[in-house]
Amino acid sequence: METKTLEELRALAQARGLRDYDKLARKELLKLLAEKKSAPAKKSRPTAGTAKPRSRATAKTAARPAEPAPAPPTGAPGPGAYAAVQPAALTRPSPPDRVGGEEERIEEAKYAFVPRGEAPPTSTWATGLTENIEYFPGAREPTLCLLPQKPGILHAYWALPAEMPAPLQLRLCRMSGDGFEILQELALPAASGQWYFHVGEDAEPGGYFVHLGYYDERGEFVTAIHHGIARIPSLYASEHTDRLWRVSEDWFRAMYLRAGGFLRAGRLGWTAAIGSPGGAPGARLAWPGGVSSKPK
Amino acid sequence: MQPKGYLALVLHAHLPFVRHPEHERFLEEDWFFEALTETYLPLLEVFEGLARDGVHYRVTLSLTPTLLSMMTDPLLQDRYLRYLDERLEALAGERRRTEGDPYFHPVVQFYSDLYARLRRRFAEQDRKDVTQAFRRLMESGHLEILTCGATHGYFPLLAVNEESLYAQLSMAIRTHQRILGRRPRGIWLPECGYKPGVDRILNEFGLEYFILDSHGLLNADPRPKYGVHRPIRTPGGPAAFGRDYESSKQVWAAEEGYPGDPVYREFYRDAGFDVHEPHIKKILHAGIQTFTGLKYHRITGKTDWKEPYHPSWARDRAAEHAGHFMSNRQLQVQWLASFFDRPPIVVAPYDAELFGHWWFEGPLWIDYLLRKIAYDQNDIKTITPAEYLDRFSDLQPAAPPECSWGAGGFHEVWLNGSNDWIYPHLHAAAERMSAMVQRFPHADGLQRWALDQAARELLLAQSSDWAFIMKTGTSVDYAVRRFKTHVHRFSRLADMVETNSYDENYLRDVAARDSLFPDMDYRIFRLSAD
Repeated sequence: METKTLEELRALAQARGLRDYDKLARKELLKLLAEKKSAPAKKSRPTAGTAKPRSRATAKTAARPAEPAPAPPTGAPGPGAYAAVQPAALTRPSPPDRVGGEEERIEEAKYAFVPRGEAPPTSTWATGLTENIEYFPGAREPTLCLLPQKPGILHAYWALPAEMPAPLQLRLCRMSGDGFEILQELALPAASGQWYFHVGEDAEPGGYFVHLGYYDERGEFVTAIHHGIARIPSLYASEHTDRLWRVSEDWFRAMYLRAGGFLRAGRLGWTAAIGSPGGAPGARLAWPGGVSSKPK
Repeated sequence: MQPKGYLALVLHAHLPFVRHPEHERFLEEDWFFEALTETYLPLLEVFEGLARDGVHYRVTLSLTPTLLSMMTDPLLQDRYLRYLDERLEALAGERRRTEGDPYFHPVVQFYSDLYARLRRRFAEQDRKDVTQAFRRLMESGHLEILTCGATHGYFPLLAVNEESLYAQLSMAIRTHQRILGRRPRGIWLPECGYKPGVDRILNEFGLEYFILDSHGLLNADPRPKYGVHRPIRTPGGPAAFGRDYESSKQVWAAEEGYPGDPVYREFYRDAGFDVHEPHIKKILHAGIQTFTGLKYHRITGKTDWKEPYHPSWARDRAAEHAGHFMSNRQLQVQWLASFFDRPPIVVAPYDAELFGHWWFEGPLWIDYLLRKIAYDQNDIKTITPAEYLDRFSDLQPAAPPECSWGAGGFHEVWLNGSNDWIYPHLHAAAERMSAMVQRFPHADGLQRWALDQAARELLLAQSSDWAFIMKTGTSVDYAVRRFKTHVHRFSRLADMVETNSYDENYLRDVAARDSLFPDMDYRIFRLSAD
């Protein structure tokens, strides 16, 4: 623990569901983490806290990390489990997280048939055709995809033929100088599935990619598929000013803050609050864990 | 006289394609009928009235291809007339029930007059097709009509297969041109969803501008000199306008904004739940208690106690709120003009359905606002984004970041624990579709028919509405079934094409149900704007 950077400690605190950790100094954070060591995380979710210490690799293979991979979430796949060759039961997805946003209520109203809080009528319509809408063909090719969700969070999904060698590992990496950094790694829970990688709200925006592979007998990682490069959006204003379109810091700040932005640690940032479906005033929706990100 | 600044009022009108000819009645079709009754027709009345009175005004309106398709669909047009007739009949019963009631009888009479007027207008003036009324206002220069993604597909999460973006744009522009007779100059990106590279594709389609949420401009690189009050030139070529936060907040916020005023109509109290008489039960779907659109109460306060609605009180308040909004915009442009060397623009975009459907008095508010801006001051003038670009073409080059106008400003509304399962299916289907386009570039006969229908099914599956509804929790079953149905139909049609074995009856049935985009050409799923 003592060797971890402040950023890594914060990620760990976040993973354990601790609050206000970002206001603490390194020493205080260490103390808090030691106190809460045995406390379970509030939500079972893959987070930056389950990440391995960053290691740097300059080749396409890298040695097995020293720490064991985090255990993936278990449980039956949801209605969206990919490659559901067999018809999957039509089950209602888990209820979405509510954020109580006023604007979401307005947007929802387009589709509302009943007052808020009352169960909507069940849709039991039949298509009237001889078709089994639960049937989706499985993946034809091994698939791996990385999508940005919001600042600090990337979403990966994969679908593989059942005969792929096991155990497989999924790695999140980021381009760095001449090589790449391995940010997180996990053992694949199933041939098809998905995962939310939490990398921290201040993480670099660009150059993320995922590798799916396995360790060979020499302990070296062999990449089977990769996907990238994804960029995660930034919460913050650019620091660059165009010489021909010069804007003073004071003016820009005044406009930015008046437009709903915030100033934190000298940086101007913006997250939707008013006027967006779901945006509750003051809600830190763009922060990791603000909304959703439930692992399957 | 040159104003100090400009106001661009932008209304985004959209509904997913919901049409079920296989059922005599279908609950979710009411989404469209309610929006016609409370939003689209009342807005047309306002815009036409302003034009008739010679008021100078400019409004920008996006009409999505799915909405245009429903507005021009004969089955839905007839069903809408039935919807109005049934309500008029129910209102006759309500007039009898409330006879002598000084509180509710006037409200019932108000609805009776409103529905009778709308029915007359829809049947006689519009001849059941409201698109032509919008078209006339566009041709007279009062409205600028934007296009959108063909089925409102969320671009940042579909961009894994760029062919999907080309298809969404290609079909959108064809539909816009076919129904409105003109190529659109601008686009409302579905959910304002943007990722770098989209600008380049928009440019290939000749689209000159789009609109982003505030942070799409504020966080652009390099810093935009004029914040959100002047568009930027994106690397791909089109201009990007930024949403103004202050004007959004005053209207959008349900409680602290105008729509939460106690005298305005209460959305959630409805005769479908309050009145248990046979004439009301008759308009419920299969006896299931749902909203009917007949709402007799005002917001009153935060408790469940609601007072009767008084249309004239609400009208007066809408006028007050319009004046308040206008004077705030005057102050805003005065402040901006004090340090800008060019006239600022305030871009105020809203969901069109906010006006009328949610905020019942919203169309009235727009009416008062546009009249006051035209006659009561000289600081601001209404403008469309295209007009602004025509006048001020020197734009700062800057690259917007990935963003949307959803909760949090990024993608989590459409990618979260409730709906993330749809993306592997969408991406796999898009890959399969573009592979078929390459493999069968000159299909005809049954093969062409199946490929065109497969393209329709894929576009319908891509609609961002399904993911949104899954997230918000309203009508989830319907959204899940719609998504699964379109993916399944796509797969089955693709199987037919790939095995050269066609079930003609199935093909005919599916084509009759998912019948939008009659000018479909499956080759839109390729990396070309031609």
